[in-house]
Order: sequence, then C-alpha cells, then structure tokens
Amino acid sequence: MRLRLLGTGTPTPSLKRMCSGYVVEIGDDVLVFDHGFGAHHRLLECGIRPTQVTHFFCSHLHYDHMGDYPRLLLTRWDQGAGKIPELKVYGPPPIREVTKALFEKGGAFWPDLVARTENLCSVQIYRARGGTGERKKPVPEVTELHPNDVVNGGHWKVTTVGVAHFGPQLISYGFRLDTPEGSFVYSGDSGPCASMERLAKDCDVLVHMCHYLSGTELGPEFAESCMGHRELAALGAKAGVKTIVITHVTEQIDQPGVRERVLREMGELYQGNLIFGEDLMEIPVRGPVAAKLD
Amino acid sequence: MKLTLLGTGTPTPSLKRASSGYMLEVGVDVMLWDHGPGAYHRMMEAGKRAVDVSHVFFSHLHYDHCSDYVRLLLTRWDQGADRIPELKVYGPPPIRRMTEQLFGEDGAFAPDLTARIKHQGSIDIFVTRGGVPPRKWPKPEITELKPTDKVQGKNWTLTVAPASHVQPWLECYAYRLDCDEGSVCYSGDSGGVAPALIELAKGCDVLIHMNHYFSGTEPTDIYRVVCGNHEDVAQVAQQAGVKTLVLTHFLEQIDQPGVREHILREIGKVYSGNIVWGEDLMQVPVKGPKMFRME
Repeated sequence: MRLRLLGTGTPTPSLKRMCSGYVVEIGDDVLVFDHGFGAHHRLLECGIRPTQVTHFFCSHLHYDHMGDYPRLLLTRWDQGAGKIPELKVYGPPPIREVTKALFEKGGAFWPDLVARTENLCSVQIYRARGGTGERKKPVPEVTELHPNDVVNGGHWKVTTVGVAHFGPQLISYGFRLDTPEGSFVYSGDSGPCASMERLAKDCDVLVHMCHYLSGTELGPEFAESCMGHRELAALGAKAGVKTIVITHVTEQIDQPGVRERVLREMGELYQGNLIFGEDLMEIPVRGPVAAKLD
Repeated sequence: MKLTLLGTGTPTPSLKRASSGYMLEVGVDVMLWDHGPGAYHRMMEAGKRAVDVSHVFFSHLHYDHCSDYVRLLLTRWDQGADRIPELKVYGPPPIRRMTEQLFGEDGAFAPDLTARIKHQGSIDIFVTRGGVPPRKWPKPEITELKPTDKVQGKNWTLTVAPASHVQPWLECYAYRLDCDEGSVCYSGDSGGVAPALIELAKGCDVLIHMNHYFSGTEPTDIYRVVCGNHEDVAQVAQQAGVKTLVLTHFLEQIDQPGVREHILREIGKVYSGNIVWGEDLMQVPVKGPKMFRME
C-alpha cells in the first residue's frame, strides 16, 4: 500500500499546493481520492498514468475536489482506447448528474466525444493505440454513495460517513480505506464532527483538512464547516489516530514559523505522529522511521 | 533587512537542498554568508545577480560552504566590467591563499582570466558592457578574520566567534550581524552546546543553526560536538534566549515526513521561542513570524 499526497492546497491558486487530491496504490488498484485542479498534474509527476487509475472517490462536489475529474476521465478514456475497464466513480449525489452534464449527450464534452469517436483521424489514432471495433464513448461506472455505505474492493474496503461541510447545499463525505497493510482515513472537507471521530478510530493515517488557525474563524458557521488546528489535534487524540497528516493548507498557516507553531500547539493536545503535508509527499503508512546516519 | 536561505543542505547532493548559503540584504549591501555548491543557483532564483553582491563571509573552508565562490567571483568580475567595486571577502585563514590559488596569476583560473583580458573578442564584450580598457585582473579585497574580530559596515556590525567544528584542521567561525532592523546569528557548522556560540547568539532575533542529524544517532561522542543535532541546538537556542531559531544543514536522515515534525516537537519542549524549519529560498521573518488574517 502506497499513499501519496497529490494536492494539499485550497481553492486559492498556488503553484506550491494544488487543490485536493490523494492517491493510494494497493495491488493492481489505483484509487484516487478527490481530484481538484492541479491534482492530475501531480499524478503525472508521481509517474502514474491516468489509464492506471481504477477508482475515483469524490468526497464532495466543490470544484477544488473534482475540477480535474474531466481531465482524468477524458485522458484515461482516450489513452485507454477501449482496452481498459471503465473508471469506477464514487461520490455523493448528484455526482451522477454532474457526470452526465460533463460526458453524456448534451453535456459539456459531448462535441469532443462525438468528434473523437466519429472523425476518421481520431478513429485511426484509436486503432494505432490498439483499439478495435467501433470506438465507444466513455461510460464511467458511477455509484452514488450514502452515509455508511461500504465499497468492497476484494482486498480492501472503503467506508463512507457524512461529515460537517457546507450542507445542505452540498453533501460531503469522509472515507476510510481498510487494507491488510494499514488503514487510511480521509476527512474530505470537514469541521469537527462525531462521525469523523468514529470513522478515524485507531486508524494508521488520518489525512485531514487543517484550514485555519483556531480562533481566527470568520464565524460559527465557518468553524462548523472547516477545521482549525486545535480541533484537529483534539480529534486525533480522541480517536487514537497514529499519524495525522495536515492538508488543505491555507496561506494563513503556511508561513515560516507559523506552521511550526501549529505543530507545537497540536503536539500539546495530540501525542501521535504529525506530518505537515506537502504535494507529492509519500506518507509512511506505518509511521515515520528515522533512518540511520550516514 | 532581508534574510533569505539559499542552501539548507549538506555535502550530499540534493536538488531540494543546495549546500550552505545565506543572503542578507541590509541597506544597499548584499551579503552572502557561505556559498556552497548550488547556493549561487538559488541566489539567481531569488532574483539577485552576482554584480549585486557586495560582501561574502565564509564560516569555514569546507567545500560545501565555499565552492560557489569561484562562480560568484568570476561571474561578478566578468559582468561587472570594472564598473563595480571589488568583492569584499571575509573568512578564516587560509582564505587569502585559497583566493590566490584560484584567481592569482598562477591560479587555477589564470588561463581564463588571461584570455578574457587579452583576447580582442573578450575586450570587445567588456567594452559593450561599459568597461574602459585596459581590462583589469580581479582583485577581491580579502580580510582574514580572527575569532574575536568585528567588521564594521555602513550601518551594521558583524561579530566573529569560534564555532565548534573541525579545528584544528580548519578554522571555523560563527557570525552575528547587528543593525537597526535586527540581529541575525549564524552558527556556521557547529555542534554540541558551545559556550562561545551561546555568548554570540545572546538575545538575537534569529539564530540560523546547523541541525545535521537526529540526536542519539551519532557514531561517536566527538561527532556530536562537531555537528549540530536537535537536542543540542535546542539547548543553545534556549540558553542564548534566541527569539527565532532557523534550522538548517539537514541530512536526508531527518528530512522525512513525520521525522522533522518529531524533531520540532522535541525542540519545542526545551526551547520556547519561534522555530523555523529552513527551506531553500525561504525568506525568514527577522522579527518573528507574522500572523495573517483568515480570508
């Protein structure tokens, strides 16, 4: 099991931190969790091709969590040339509607799909890539998830819970991936909530939004929907998480000396390992190990 | 006053961390503190040209602290075309001899310098850059420092102290600069809890300190007093009452997810000031980290 951070940023444009994205490789499966703007670029930097991605889990439909869904799906379909299974897509409603509006008849990319499947040149490219028979349009296998749903991947399973973020306009989920090699929990975007606490119970790694310095929230609604550093530390302590990975980092805390202060204050409340996430970082699922001096 | 970290690595080759280099801008002066391999590249990335540099201070003459001296001096001389003052160079002996061996009339770069001074094509370039022939040989103003020296600049004072490193094979210094806008101290390469360094760093705004490895993994006791490690660095910073501690000179051993955070946590138990985990090209807030509003 290999866990890498693709995007550890927010909707605020940044070359250092892309919008949300995470990738887990288990056996032959490549699971992408969220795929906001820039996450696909990072996926390529990781050396993973879109055709290798088997599953896409979307925590919620804010654009900074799924803006690169079209790039992933279209590139994967185009390069895959009918030789790979359809992408399996999981997320809250209305992800089916969103998928339709992007890739089905009348959708935003329909003209492209028509051209690529009917234009002779495009069909020739398809054949050169090993495609056979009539070129079909992509039909991702979309599953709309409900809280407490479990997706069983054979040697892994993903559990879904509802989390506290910008409802009722959006439905937002947290996910927990359990495998024989370890457990990974992803908050999606969430403020403090009991469901995340249950989901994260005793997990190896909790990748959690850490959006702001506790105490600087813009109002009570903000504090309910987004996570501050102290609340995150309290969650980690209560749930017995072994390693917290800080992500969804705003410029407010991503400053020399401020991030170290965040770590110090979190360390007062939480005894486990802390990791201040960075794009392209590979997370040691079983905890950090100090190498020998050489 | 602006402090930029150019290289926060070691001799181990790395694209993430160049070897040692720091840049201080005070008034019109641009000072480099150490200039190891890769530091020059970072300086360019930071938007500074060789001709902008007025002073360079070497803590010691290990190559990871001084090998980009060549690139700096030659480029500065070539681009400067006699329109800028000679580079002011400070460091422990034998910096004068080393400079002579590099740039003297029998030095390693004498053939290059001779060709650039004598060949008409090079003279033509020199003239297009605003130079007036005859083209002169570079003569950096070398000052060999003693461990108790002070250097007086226009609006700053630099104080020298001995570091705890690889003496007597190399003379090794720590530096402190004081000016109206603040004070910055740099350990050079130094290990253990060295009284001279604590004295030098007393009450400074920023202490940049070597944090080479994880305390307890040193192969010998001698290694520990020669190379900075997190437990000793924390003691130095706390005893000196430093306001902000900038950690640098990182081996890959500690520059790992979760390991660096572990070190920060342990340092935080001993030292109560601000901690900054250095990165190449980081601009260090000399008066401490600023808090931004949420937006």
